[in-house]
Amino acid sequence: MKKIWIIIRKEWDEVFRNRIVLYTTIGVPLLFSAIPIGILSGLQGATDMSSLESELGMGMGAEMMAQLCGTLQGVDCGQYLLLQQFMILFLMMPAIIPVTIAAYSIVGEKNTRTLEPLLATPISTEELLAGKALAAVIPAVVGSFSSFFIFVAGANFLASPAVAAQLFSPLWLLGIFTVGPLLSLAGVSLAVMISSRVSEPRAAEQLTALLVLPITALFMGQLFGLLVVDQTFMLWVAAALVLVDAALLFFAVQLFQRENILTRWK
Amino acid sequence: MKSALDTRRITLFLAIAFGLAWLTALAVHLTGGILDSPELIPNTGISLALVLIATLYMWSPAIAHILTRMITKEGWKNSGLNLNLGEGRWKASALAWLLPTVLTLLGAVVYFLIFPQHYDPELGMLSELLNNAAQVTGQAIPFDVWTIMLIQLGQAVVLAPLINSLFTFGEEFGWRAYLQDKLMPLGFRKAMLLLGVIWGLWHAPVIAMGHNYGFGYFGAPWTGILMMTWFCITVGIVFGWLTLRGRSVWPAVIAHAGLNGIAGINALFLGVEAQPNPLLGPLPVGLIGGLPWAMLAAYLLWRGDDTADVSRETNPPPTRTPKRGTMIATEDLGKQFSTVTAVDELNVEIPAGQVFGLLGPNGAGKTTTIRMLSALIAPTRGHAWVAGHRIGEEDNLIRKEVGILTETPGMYEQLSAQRNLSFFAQLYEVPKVDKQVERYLRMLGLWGRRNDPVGTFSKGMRQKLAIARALLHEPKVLFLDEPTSGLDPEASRLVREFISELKTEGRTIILSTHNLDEADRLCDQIGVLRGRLLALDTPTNLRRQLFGRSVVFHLGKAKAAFAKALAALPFVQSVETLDNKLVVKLDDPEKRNPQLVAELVNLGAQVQFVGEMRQSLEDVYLQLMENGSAA
Repeated sequence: MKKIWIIIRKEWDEVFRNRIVLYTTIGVPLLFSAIPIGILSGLQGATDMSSLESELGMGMGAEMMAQLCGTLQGVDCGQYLLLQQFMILFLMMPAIIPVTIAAYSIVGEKNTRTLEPLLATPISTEELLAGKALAAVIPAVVGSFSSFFIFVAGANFLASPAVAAQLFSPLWLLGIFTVGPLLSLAGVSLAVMISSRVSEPRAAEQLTALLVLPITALFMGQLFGLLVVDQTFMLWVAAALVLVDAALLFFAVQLFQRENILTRWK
Repeated sequence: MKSALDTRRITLFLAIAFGLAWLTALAVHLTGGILDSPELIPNTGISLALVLIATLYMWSPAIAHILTRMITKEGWKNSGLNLNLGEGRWKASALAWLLPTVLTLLGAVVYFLIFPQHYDPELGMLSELLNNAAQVTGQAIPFDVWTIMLIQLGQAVVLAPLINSLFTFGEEFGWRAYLQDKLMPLGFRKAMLLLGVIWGLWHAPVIAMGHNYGFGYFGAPWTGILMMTWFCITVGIVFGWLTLRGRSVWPAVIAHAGLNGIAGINALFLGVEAQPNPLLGPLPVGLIGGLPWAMLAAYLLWRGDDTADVSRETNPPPTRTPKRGTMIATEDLGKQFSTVTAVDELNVEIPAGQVFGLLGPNGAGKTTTIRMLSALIAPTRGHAWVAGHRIGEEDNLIRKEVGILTETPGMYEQLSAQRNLSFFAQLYEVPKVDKQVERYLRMLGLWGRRNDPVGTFSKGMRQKLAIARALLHEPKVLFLDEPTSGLDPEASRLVREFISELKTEGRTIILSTHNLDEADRLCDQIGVLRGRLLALDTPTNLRRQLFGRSVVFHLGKAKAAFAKALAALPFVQSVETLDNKLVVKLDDPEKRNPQLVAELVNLGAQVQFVGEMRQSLEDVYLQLMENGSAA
């Protein structure tokens, strides 16, 4: 554990010296909390469900409303549905922020010729990869949590108390505090895996950029009503992600072949 | 050389694998067999037999593997779990993914060519299955029968190798990852055949209960068991070969999963009226359906010697242990990269406290040797011990005991010199990090620049910092790969002086260099490498071995008579006149010099100086290279 922490601290020292990385790590969460607050503020004029529905282009029956909003009625239901669309945004954030850092993690070491002296130290592959992955995951998760709290504070002012209270429902808490970090770990593990297989930082960045696709698909699916993100769905996603994360970490360690990295990469 | 069979572990493994599987089969039999087993979840088809067979039965070899290792305290080396995709081994996994589909469909083609009356282009069997499903669900099937077939085929090719791996891992982790490895001392052919027979017999109880072949066939269940054994031998050879090629169990797991996924597809081409003999096909467990598998297995068996080369059992055990006081010892150490042999049959013994020079042209294997000895890469042959620890078994302990200056002094450019060193000191678990970092920064004259980013350092400063990094944890052994390469003369001199200082501290230093003068000045022993070790001795002895010993007599005036007189002496090998010097080659100058001087004085020569002629190490090196090329 101690060596993992040593790696994490070194990574942060190095990565956050780059101001662009630092600003984007802070800026993206701020932006992600500002967008929903801004939209919520813009829709404050909507006084009943019908006007909100017309603005959002929705039309739904009472049965579906009950399914989606529970006890919330009228404009509260509309506001809640709107807020719920942003949950995917908060899930995307911890997955998107760290991938560039993670993508550079191994191939970057090779590029600066520091990988050989690093691998010559008594550090295990598991410790090295865990350190690299956590160094990317922790800032992203902290950023997304902070962003969520800012969003909750904003929603408290702009939405009704009943709607704001929904943000602390099991669905949201599960999403933000379980699925988000698990998604982040999955993305980062995949990025670290890619980073240890390619020999060029640009290739790693290009490949890891593809990670955004499944999350975007989820976002679009929800937006177009193809997907209902409820508590059961979130539980299934969390359970699946635990398995996916375990598998990705296992494969990341297996695919990290010290010898190949040292002898094949030029 | 091959090691003997580990019969104790093999017996224990078989007892657990067979015991667990056959007891599970007994439980299935006592609860109604496969066909009449009670349903665990009503109307789902999930019966007790299905669950027991898919879990305990199929996983019994994996459980046997794990328990055998634990009971016999074998450890987890060579467990087969590593993916091993490097050095082209990914091809084994890729092949494992595709091969079952190709071979199984080929088997179907062969079967329906022999029994065309069984083939139904309308896919009658599948149509009937779909109609039954439509009646049960009350919903029409939205696709035509060939579309359904293609979907089935697609999922069998794409998804089945992944999903079925969960079950096939249970078998392969036992049979291929453990038993095969243990049987390899018999040689590839015998091991494969024996393993196939064992694997086939292990299936006997479920075959007897109607699995794979049903009941109504000729000679049931004995012919079924026999046929399954034949199938296990043929398929097992292919899986075994994939395991050896991939040096991992995963290709076999994938291939087995793919086979399970695709096997049933062949039956979908049958007509409703067809009554095939299951012992023949069209499934691959039949003699004809499985013909492509058998043919491939026969081919692999025929060329078996080649595949045996990649067995993990081919490295013979060490014949000795290093002597006391030896810091580094190697025995037939070698490293092969694909088809290129980088280092071969390296045998050295380096006592503690010596500076050992590693000389050789580019690509001679110097860096590979250093990487092997510092536990960065694994040898493919032979054995080595560093600071009392064996390479490949105690790599982490070796890494704690050695320091390495790599060919290029890679540093984190954005971090300060102090932060760079403190990071590595922490990883090496240095007790007082700050003090130790300060000590070396001061020692190498970098203390004043400690807070500056390394990116602003000159090449010489980086090199000094890299040397400091290699020394932070006070290693017993120091590997220096081209320490003065690219440095200006002043910086080179500083580094050389520092190495001399380190030598006085009693550290063992391995110095790889192209600078022969540097090696001559610093090294106690020199190894000249070009793939193999061309020479190994002290610099002085190397000179003597190659050029003999020569004494130079500086005379007032050299005359031909002097040379002639000296050449006539029995102990003189040759005499050469160069200006006013006579170069006399002889064996024992310490004893013979007074006699030679007396002879010259008697002849009236004015002897001004006498000294031993010293060949440069460069001459020695070039001579060795020339000899090596000639050899």
